Amino acid sequence: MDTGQDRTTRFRKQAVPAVLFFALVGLMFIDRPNWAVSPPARVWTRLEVPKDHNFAVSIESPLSAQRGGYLLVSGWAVAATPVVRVATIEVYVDGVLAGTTADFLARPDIAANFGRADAEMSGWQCVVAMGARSAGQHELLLNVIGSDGKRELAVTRSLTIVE
Amino acid sequence: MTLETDLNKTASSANLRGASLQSNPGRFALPAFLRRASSAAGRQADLLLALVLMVAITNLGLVLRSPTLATRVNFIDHSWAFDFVVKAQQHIWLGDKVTFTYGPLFQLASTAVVTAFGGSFGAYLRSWQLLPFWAGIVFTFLTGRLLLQGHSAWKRCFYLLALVCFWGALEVRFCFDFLAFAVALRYFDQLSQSKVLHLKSAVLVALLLLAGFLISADTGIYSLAAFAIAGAAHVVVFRNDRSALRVLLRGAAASVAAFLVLAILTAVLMPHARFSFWTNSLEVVSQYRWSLAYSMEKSVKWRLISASAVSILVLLIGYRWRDSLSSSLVRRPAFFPAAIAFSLLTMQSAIVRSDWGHVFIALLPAIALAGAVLMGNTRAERDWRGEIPLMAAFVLTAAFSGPLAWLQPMNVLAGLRIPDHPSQACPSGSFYIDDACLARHDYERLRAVSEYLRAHSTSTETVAIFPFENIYAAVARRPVAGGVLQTYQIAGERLTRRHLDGLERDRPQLAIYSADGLATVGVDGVPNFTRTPEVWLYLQSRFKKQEELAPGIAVLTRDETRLKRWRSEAVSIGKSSDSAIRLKQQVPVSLGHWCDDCDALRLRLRVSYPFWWRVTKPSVLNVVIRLADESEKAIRAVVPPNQTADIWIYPWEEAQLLKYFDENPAVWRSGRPRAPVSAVSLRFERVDWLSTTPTRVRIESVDAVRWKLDTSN
Repeated sequence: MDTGQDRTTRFRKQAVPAVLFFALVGLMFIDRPNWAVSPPARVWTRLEVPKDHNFAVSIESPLSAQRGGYLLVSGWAVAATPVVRVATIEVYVDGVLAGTTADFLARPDIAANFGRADAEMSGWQCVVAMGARSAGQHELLLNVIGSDGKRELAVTRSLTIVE
Repeated sequence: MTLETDLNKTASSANLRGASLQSNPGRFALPAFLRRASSAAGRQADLLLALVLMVAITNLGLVLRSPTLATRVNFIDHSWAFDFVVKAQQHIWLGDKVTFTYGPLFQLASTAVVTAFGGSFGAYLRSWQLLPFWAGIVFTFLTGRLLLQGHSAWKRCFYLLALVCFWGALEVRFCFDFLAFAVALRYFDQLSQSKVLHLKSAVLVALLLLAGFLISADTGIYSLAAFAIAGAAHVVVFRNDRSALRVLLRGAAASVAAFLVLAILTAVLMPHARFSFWTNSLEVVSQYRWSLAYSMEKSVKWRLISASAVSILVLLIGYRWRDSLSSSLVRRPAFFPAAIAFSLLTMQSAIVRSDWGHVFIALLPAIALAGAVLMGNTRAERDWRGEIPLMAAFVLTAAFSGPLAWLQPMNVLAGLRIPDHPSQACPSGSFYIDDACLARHDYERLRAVSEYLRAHSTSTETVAIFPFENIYAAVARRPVAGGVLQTYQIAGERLTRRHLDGLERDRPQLAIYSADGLATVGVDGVPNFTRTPEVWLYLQSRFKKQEELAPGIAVLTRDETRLKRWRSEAVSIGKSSDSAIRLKQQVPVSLGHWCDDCDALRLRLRVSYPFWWRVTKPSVLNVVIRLADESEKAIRAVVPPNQTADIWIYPWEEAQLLKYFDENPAVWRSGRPRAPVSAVSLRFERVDWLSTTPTRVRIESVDAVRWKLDTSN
């Protein structure tokens, strides 16, 4: 026979786990960082887009190539406001369009440095063919185009081509 | 007590309850079938929850969408994971013809899932995650059933939900490891309680251990360790009970014997590898520690320390609640020492490859076992204070983790929205290949190489890949040649030999070479030539450059005469030396005159480490090269501790190594000026707080090597 005491015992045994289970189900509705997500990287440098500029852009790869060969140009680019994203990077050598990219790579370090989650996909890379350009010093320009269509000449660097 | 008897007990209690309700006609009574259904549902609530979680995480909206949009192709991880599928379609099984961390069971399961969705690259991209997710849920559910027997179904539900949705128990290998630990505990516990050995149980345990090795080499090692630890803990606890001790030892011997028989059977079923399946698996695990060690960020370090400390503390406090008569395994005296030892052991994976992804999964067993202890007692508590451990589990979960994005209700609902008319076209800005929509950069490389391979080889002809972009051949459905699936896993003499033997066996006519700095990167910053010089030299001495399909990606074709015309000459340019090592201080290498047409530097050396490097990890070795033009280059290298080994260095830009495949040797050294090497030094650095400092380095030889090709014929 099931006595009242048995029922009370069973209720006690199940009540707290059931309440906590449903509380855990409730927590599923609250968006918070999950344990599986990497802890944020330590921020060594605080970066921001310069005033009067639409974009902050950096070239990180060395700019030296062999005549007739290829050069991998890479870096990062961040727009001044989160509502605009960097859509395209154009690479010009001596004023001639030499490469373009619209693919961006995850750069959590840059996002951390800017303190902006929207800057996560800020990495870019572009392979530029040196072709028949002569050995010596050349000018490399980066043109950045935002998702709002605005263009900005972002970086000018010297490119060395060797024989 | 077995699971079956426990359920019978619960069922009979449910029947009693039914009888009680029937005997009281004044109260509301459900129809009998509804009572039976609700009672069964109550008992099996955790099983129902597991099924709900499996459906919820499947994300039908994604897995049924064809073609699949991929923001980025990962040329390392997608290369091996999709190559599994293609290899299985060609009946090439891991462990037999090809060695890798993962084994044939994992390959079979992942292929079954991807094949069910079409077997294409797109199908792989949209469904690869299903196997680890489903397996994680099933293994965690089974572990809960084993460890929390006698607990209320609500507690098992809480345990499953917390582990899967908040602590991310969605990984095949480590979820299998803690299931293996739970099974081993249960096996030895039953032996010690019943004092009767059932041969069937011994064989089942042996099968589970074998399954571990067939999933992956490290899973097998951890499963075996789980068995040994659980057995040892029971032997210690029952050391004064002679009859229990006898049956425990007999049980362990029976399982080991059954495992050995299964191991022999496995070797027999692998016609290419035979018993080397086992030696290769052990080699993969043992070489990993020095060849693929990775540093730990400070933020990861504190997470690891705090999570492991809390877990071990819970297990230590739990020891006070031990109860040899409890129906729950997590209250038995043998559980606590075994759980602490096993948790500490699995953290070895976190020590070796210390990025958060690896640390996180290595922490799973510790968190799962501590969590099981916090599920409290099996008996009803007199008041709420008895449930404090369970509340602590809730507070810890709520404080340290949010819900997994895949299982958040909003995302689950979004995933259930299946498109009525799936689009057959790729969105603007992406490009179609093999049922996937890729970004232009990835698409152009994949299309150029895979189309070339399709046009110039048959479906059975193998292709050599250097260094690791198997995905080119996989998308073209061509088998990749060699004995090791990915070259960065080749470390030590045995695996190098296996890969080269595989290349000789397969004799590919085509090879795809990706140049460092242009089309690929060195894993962990080690140039691919320096990591696997033997493979590079094998290709360079047998293949010539046919054409460059994309910047830095070249097709090489086998030249049957090249090896006969090819020569490698070593010129000794330095003296041997023996130096003590001080961290971050450079050890100069005695260097003579560098020959003008020499191509590479070869150092034969032996780095001595104290014995404890085997439970930590070695330091990083940087070879600092100073050139005559005053430029300096630091190259990261890997070297096996306490063994004599060769380090190969290309002193200039690694992208230039592609030129050495040209038929005309005059091209090899053309182009960029190559300033002679004027000085070389070695610098050792600890990668993190867990890496061991070497004591001495003995440089046995310093050679400059030049390669030649006779073109007179």
